[in-house]
Amino acid sequence: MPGFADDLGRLTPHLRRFARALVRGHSACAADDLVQETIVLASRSDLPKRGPTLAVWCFAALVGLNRARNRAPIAPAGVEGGGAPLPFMPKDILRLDALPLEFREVLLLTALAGLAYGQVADVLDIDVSIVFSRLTRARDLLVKSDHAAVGRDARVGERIRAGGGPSHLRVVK
Amino acid sequence: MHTDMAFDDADLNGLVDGRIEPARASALAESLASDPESAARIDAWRRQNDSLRTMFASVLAEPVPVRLLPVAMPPREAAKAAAPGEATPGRRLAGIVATTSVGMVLIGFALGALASVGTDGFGLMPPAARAPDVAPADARDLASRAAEAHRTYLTDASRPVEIAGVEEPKLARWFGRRLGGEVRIPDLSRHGWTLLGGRIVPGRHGAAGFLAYGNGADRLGLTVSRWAMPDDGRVTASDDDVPPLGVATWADGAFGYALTSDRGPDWLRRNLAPLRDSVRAQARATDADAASP
Repeated sequence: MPGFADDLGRLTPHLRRFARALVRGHSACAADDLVQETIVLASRSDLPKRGPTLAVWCFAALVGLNRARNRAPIAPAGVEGGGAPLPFMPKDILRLDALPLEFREVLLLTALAGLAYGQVADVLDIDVSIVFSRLTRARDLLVKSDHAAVGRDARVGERIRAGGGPSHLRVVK
Repeated sequence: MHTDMAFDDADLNGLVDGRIEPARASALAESLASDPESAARIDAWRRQNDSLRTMFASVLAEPVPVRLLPVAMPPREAAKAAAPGEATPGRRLAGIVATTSVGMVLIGFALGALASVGTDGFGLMPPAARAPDVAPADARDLASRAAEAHRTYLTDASRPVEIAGVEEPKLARWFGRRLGGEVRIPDLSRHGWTLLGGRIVPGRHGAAGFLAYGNGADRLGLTVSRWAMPDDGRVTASDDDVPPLGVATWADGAFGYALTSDRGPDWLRRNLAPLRDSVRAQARATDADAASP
């Protein structure tokens, strides 16, 4: 199946970015673990694996693995490795952790991974009308939690730290 | 009629994500104009989208850790990459890919830097509208111009370049002036390619730079063009030539790049990653130097 490694290679940075946003506390290590498991699964599986099918398949696998992991005890923090800290500006920090998982999944698949609504529905195995209603809830909730947090604490960097235990997020500039 | 039209979640989200028919979008925009509350909500959603992408943009550009490289390369490809009897530089490059540290081999597949979110997906395949093997217009244009430059100039035995490689600083200044911005001439000697020189060629977005590298009788062309946003890492064969040229295009920062090789598309496909990463790393090194003199 020539081209599979190419396609998967091209998809990997997108899977990493999505995973990074999806996992609790945006841990680089936990995110890459998920991506690695996804790649291994994709390489072993016999499904048609080119193009959009591969993308949907991989995102679905990653979402499933993340759900499974969220039910398991969380690995102790502090064993970070690989992946640079996110160099974003404080004003860009969104409280994604405050979103319930199913809302986070829909929002990140749409807005960050750039999937079409139909693909998001395929990834999550839900009807596309549910995609829309969850997306609306997710966006409103995130705006609200963001505003609430700004009101509570003017130091945006601090508020992330307070929310997620030992922080590996470094605010630069 | 525009004011009593009903809009649902699909419309509101579609507007923010750019996934709504233009007619519907303008009707919605019109209705928002007279509804400040909804307009503010949509505005907040938009800012949220931007923030989301900004927040995680760096992850896309990071080198992919070795453990995440496609491990299970299908045997056929793996065999091809390591095929004995293949041109020696090819094998040498395969060795480099396998052995250098992560820092050296930046397996980055960033699509047009930060602007990758949206309809074009992952550079794999596109929403149904686009045929699988059709690259975006800019990339196609860059690829065909690069192939043309390659076959026009690099077959010229007496004067393939305007300014020779030994005058590299002069060449860099010329390119910088014509392309509008600092251009670093990549050194590919680590990969066995010596800079022969370069010249200015016509591009879709003004002047483009064309660099020639040689390895024995083989030639490698690198076209640097302003503002092009090619599809990342696609290797195509330019079938007008016998044997066909291999052409690969990618975007990095403000420039689009096209690599052309008379060793053919198969060779380029196998050797693209280290060459492209080398070009990228050197272009970025310039940025870093400029930022902290």
